Amino acid sequence: MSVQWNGGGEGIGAVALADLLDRVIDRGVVLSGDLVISLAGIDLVYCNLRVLLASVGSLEDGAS
Amino acid sequence: MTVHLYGVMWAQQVPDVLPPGLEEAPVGSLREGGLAALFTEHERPPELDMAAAQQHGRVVDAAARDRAVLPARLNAMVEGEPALRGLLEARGPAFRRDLEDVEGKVEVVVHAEDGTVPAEIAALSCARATADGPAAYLVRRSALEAFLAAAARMDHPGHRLLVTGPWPPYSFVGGAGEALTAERRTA
Repeated sequence: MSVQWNGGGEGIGAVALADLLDRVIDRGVVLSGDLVISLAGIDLVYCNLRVLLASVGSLEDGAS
Repeated sequence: MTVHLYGVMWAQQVPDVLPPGLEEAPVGSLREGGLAALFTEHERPPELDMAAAQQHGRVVDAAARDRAVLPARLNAMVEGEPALRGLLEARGPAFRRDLEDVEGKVEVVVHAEDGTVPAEIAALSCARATADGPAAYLVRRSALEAFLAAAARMDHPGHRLLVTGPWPPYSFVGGAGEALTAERRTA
């Protein structure tokens, strides 16, 4: 089993970083563009997906 | 002035030192009725980028180390300190209830390769978040070791588990949750 323990932000694992963003970013927050670029830089498909899903979810809520 | 909110905690538990917040602004605390709101002030709404998300997370992490904190989300902003005080007054009862609920507990996320977290692990938690995505559990600090040990026991080829945490209880802010994602409320 892998454990990515949250040691306060330095050297945080990729999945832990994704989970952190998932927690901090609520649906409805539109992040500025460099988020996706930064995430692409660390090749984090999961995180990109989550951020995209959150954004799409917010758009859908706003449209309905 | 835009006020960015990091979280709500018991006033007597506010740490003396906290890391800087968004745009490196010093984090202050506004106290009302035994509660304290951790905040930074900004001349205009701060840009919500990757750095902001991590700075927000660092402040909440530091405040929540061994203390009960209701974490706010990145979009929790109000216009001016009076609005923040108003929020603490209006939602005080919900904040107090939620703080009691998360006392001594942390959030732990379990990524299961096959999408199912074994019941033996879930049984060691107090609650599971209802949101989509990987399973988030509220776990007593005193049960963390047993929770991790159970995850290690249940980790097998084809059913790999990956655990992240401990997080402040972002997914377990109950009645107060709406207030902690409040967006640009005005006084």
